[in-house]
This record gives sequence, structure tokens and C-alpha cells, in this order.
Amino acid sequence: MRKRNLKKCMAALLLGALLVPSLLGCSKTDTTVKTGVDSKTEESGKKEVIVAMLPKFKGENYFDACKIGAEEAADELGITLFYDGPSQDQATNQKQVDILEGWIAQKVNVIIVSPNDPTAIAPTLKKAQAAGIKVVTFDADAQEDARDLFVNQITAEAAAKGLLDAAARDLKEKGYGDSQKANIALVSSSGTDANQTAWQAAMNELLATDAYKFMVIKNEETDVYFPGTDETKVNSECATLISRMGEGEDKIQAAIGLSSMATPALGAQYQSASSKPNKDKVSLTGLATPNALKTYIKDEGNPLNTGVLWNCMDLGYLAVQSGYQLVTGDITSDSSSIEAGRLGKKEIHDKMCVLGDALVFDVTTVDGFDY
Amino acid sequence: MINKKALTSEAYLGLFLMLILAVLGIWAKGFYSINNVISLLNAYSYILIASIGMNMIIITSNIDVSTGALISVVCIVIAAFGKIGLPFGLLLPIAMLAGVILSTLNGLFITSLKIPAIVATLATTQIFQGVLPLVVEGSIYDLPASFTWLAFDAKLFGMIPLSLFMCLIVTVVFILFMRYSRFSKKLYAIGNNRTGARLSGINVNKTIVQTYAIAGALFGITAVIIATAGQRVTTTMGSGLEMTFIAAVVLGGTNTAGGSGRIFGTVIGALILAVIAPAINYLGISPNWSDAIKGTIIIVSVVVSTAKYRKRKRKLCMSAE
Repeated sequence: MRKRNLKKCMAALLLGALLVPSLLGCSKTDTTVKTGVDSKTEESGKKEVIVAMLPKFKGENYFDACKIGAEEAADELGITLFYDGPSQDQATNQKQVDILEGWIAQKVNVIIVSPNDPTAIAPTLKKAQAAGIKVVTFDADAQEDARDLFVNQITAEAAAKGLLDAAARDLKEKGYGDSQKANIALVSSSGTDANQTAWQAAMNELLATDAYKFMVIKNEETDVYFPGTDETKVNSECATLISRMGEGEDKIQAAIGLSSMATPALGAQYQSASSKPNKDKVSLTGLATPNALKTYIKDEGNPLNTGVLWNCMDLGYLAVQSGYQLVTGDITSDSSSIEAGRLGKKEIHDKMCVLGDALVFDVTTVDGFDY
Repeated sequence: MINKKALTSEAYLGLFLMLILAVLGIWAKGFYSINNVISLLNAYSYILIASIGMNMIIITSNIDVSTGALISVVCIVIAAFGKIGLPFGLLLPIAMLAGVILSTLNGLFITSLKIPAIVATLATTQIFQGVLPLVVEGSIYDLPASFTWLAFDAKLFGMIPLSLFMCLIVTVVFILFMRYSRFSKKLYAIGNNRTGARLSGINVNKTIVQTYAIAGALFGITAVIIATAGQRVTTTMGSGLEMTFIAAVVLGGTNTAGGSGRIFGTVIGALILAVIAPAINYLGISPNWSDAIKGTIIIVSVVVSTAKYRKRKRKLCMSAE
């Protein structure tokens, strides 16, 4: 008898465990639904515009900051913003496609997406376009014929330059230069990511020029890390890299993180190291949001002194602005510029709108940001 | 006689490890720098602690493939507590408790619903992974200094990470426990012959649930070490780790059919696995080789140990005749 009860209990528990997610799911899918009625929409008397934004993944400083900017623009324009994306571990094309299919069925007006895979997502984006939905890519591009506009945060050249400048400045302060070369290592992402690949290529070009040639990637096989998006793996590979750093020919003097996961991991692993390489002889920098690096930048014992990024909130803002204007017809794919609210006028070339240059922050400016 | 044989199989593994370490000493420049050795041992400590738990489960002829997902859940739980500033002294027991609860759940599914362990834990893997994204949006970040205390500041003699010390305590305790306790005899008995164990008066189901509970506590400790490595905890901190743990156990000479195996073998197996990734980087080989090399080592070691097992069995049969 007792046993049977126990069985029933377990079955109920299992059922409950299965039900809870589906219930939670109902309430949480569309994170932000704003139905502000702005004077603008009333004036024009148009039906409500729905903008749907799909990041590579949710729940990380970077895209959360984009979301804040997007919400700001949506509030300003009085439109509805859907924001959803895969969780970090499931940052795959398939998950993005699932979400997109839902939005296409709901007939949103514009889709703003940062694709995990530029080519694999193209058929779905084309399907959206065929259904009369405008498609904007932001943060990372998709296949060119599958979107109406790409809102690019930064050109690959500017990103590469920003990163190398940050490293070069720090290295020069620490006594490296043409007379004393420095070995550098990169911590990239998964190796298939469009952004990182483009940045790395641009960095290689710059490293061949006179201004940067004192920095050397000695062995592409081992000095460029591809830990992927798994936090534990990023941490352990960064730990190995930190242990390879120090003075001398066969050591590495500077590490540059190319993803917003890698750079904080470098700072954290330096902090955890038992016998740390001399902070006056090595340098750490890379892409990350200011909040993620704050602790390390402010810590004088940590050689991570600068971080590189662009203004994420502005990126989200610009993406929503341009998406909205594509719907209203204020701009088309062929326009040469956009009047983007508080950001002013931004140029458009070849269906691409560039936000601006890299933003380098250090101990004096890091507190000015909150993302 | 059999005891002696088992000892030699671990000795072989030990020799193999020495060989790897010697090769690294010669060709991998800087591999033995204090910094690298300690960061390697840090990864080793969390692999080993959970592998010991996995070892106990495998000895009972069960398995747990949900460990990675379970650890991810525990990581998020303690990150949530860490976010409000709880110190390490509280995070550790919370993590162990969470690990015990979730792992006990596994044990109960297996025993009371009579589902094979691999199926039950596959199901719970999905549940653990499925619930996380609904509760948190991918990660909990900007965690305070109190949270990263274990990784950043907790060094004995200003050098040895506390995590390593924790690993040492766990290992010693469990080596003794598995050698001398009555409980451990039950595990081997169940793994060898479940029906026989039951007939000899062992409460099989209860023992299995207890084993999962103990393993859960160890998974909790591993989760603490993994989670507190940085200021951000994602929902995938443990993803895929279960395979590393199972590999360490198998490499250590434990038979996946259950009933045999020692903690000491796992101690060496885990060390070999922990050495490979950094070793490859130091040797100047592309990291893409890392998994392939790990796999090869596991296959070779399993083939060797099965061959020896067969040989021994044949010998026993022959002497019986």
C-alpha cells in the first residue's frame, strides 16, 4: 500500500515538474510588451506597429543593454516591442528559427535579429520578407539578400583597431615597443561566428602594419583560443592562457578577449591565479560591457586596465528606430541616411548603417556606464 | 590474489600518468610553472570531487547522465543566493543540500518507478535544463566579491587554493569510507548481484537512493567550485561535464557493469583527463585535438582492462574445472 502511494506521489511529481515549465512559459515568453499610445501614431492614424527583436541569446549584460536601448526607442515611438531569444546554452540557429516562425505567424511588422548563423537563418528571414515583414539585422549580419538593412555597431576595421590600440597603449606603457616585441594571444568565441572571424582577419591585417608589428601572434594554432560559449570551458582555457603569460620569448605578454564572455574570464582567472604573472609586464584587454570588467579595471593589482566596446544601448535604439522607419516608409533599403531620433543622422551605405567607432573605457570612465 | 591484480591495473594507469608527465616535462616548456600546475589542479579538484560521487553510483551498476544539468541548476541556485551577498560559508551547505535533493530525486525515480538509471536521468536532465531558462534569462551576472571569494582570495599559505584542499579532504574521506565502511560493501554487493544482495538482507532501493544522495552532496561541492570561478553564472555551467566524470571513473578502471572499481583509480583517471587540455596547449598542438585524444585514451584503457578482466575470468574458470 505504502509503495503504491509512493508511486503515485512520484508520478504526480513528475507530472508537476513537466507542467510547471509550460505554465511558466506562458507567462514569460514575450518579455516586453509595451502598448504605449503616442501622439505620433494617433496623428497618422495607422495601425499599431509591432517590432520583434531577437538577440543571439538572452540574459547577458550585452544584449540586456541592447534591450534597454530598444525599449527606449519603442517608448519614444509608441510602438509595441517583442523581445525574446534563446538562452545562452541554446544559442543555436534552430532556437532562433523557432522563435521567428512564431512571430511570422503573429504577423509582426518588423523583425530585428542578431543571427547565430548568417546563412542558416536566411531561408526563415526570406520567408518573413515574403510575408511582408521587414527584416533588420543588428549586432551580427545575415546573408545580405535576406535582410533589408544591417545595423552594424562597428566596422570590423574599427573594432580591430580599437582592440589593438587598447592593447598597444597598455603594452607601450609597460615598456614594449619596436625594440622589444610582445607576444599576444586572442580568446575568440566558437570559430564560426561572423563577427569574431571578421575582427580577427582585420586584426591580422593591422598586425602586419608598422604601427602594430611589435605585437606578434606567434602560433595561430595555440595562441588563438576558441572556447565557444560555455562559461566553464571559457574559464578553464583562460586559466591555461594566464599561466602561459609572463616575461620572455616563449611566454605571452598580452591577451585580448574577442567576446564578452572571454574578457571577464581573463580578468577573473588572473585574479584566481596563485602565482600571478607580473602585472607590470603583461596586459589584458578585450571586448566586454563595462559592468562585467568594473571589478578588474578598478583593481590595481590586475593588469586588465581597459575594455573595448560600442554603446550597446545606442545599438538597440538605432535598430528599433531603423526598423520602425522601414515600416512607415520614412526610409527604404536604398536610403542614404536615417534621422535616428536622439542619435541624429546616421549614414547608410550598401544597406548597412554603422553606429560608430569603438568605445574604450578605463578606470576613469568605467563608472559612467551602467550595463 | 584478485586484490593484487586490481592493484596492478591501477599501477599501470599510474605509470601511464608518469609517462605523460615526463613527456610534458621534456617538451612542454613552462608546463611545470607553479601557476599552471595550480590552475590545472583547480580544474582537477572539481572534476575529481564529482567523479567520486559518480564512481559510487556506477559501482551500484547505475549511472547518472544528469550530473551536468544538475550542477548547472545548483550553480544558479547559489548564484541567486550569492547575489544577495551570502558568504561562502553558507553557499557551500546550500549547494550540498540542493545537490542532495536533486540527486535523491534521481534515486527515487530509478528505484520507486523502476526506470533504468540511464532513462530516468536522461529525463531529469531534460527537466533540469528545461526549468533553468524559465527561471533566469541565461545568466546571473555582476556577482559581488563575496561570491568569488573561493576562487579569488581563498588561498592557504597564500598559494594553495582552498578548493584543492577541499578536494583532498573529500578524497581521503571517501577512500577510507569505501574501503572500511559497511555501507560500501553493500554497494559492491548490489553492483555484483542485485538479487543476491536483496536475498542477503540488503535493502537495495534504500541503499541506491542513499548513494545518489551522497553523490548529490559531492556534485554540490563541485558546483560551488565551478560557479564561484567568476562574476557570472550561466545556466550551462555544468553542461557536458557528466561525460568527463564518467570518463574519469571508467579510465580509473571501474567496470560500467558495476560491482568493482576503486576511488584511487578515479583519482588517477581524473588527473589524466585534467592534464590533457592544458598539456595540448603547452605542447603547441591545436586544441581541436583535445577531445579526440581524450577519447582515444579512454578507449585504449577500457580495451586493456576488459582484456585483463576476460583473462582473469578465464583463469578462474579453468581453475574451477
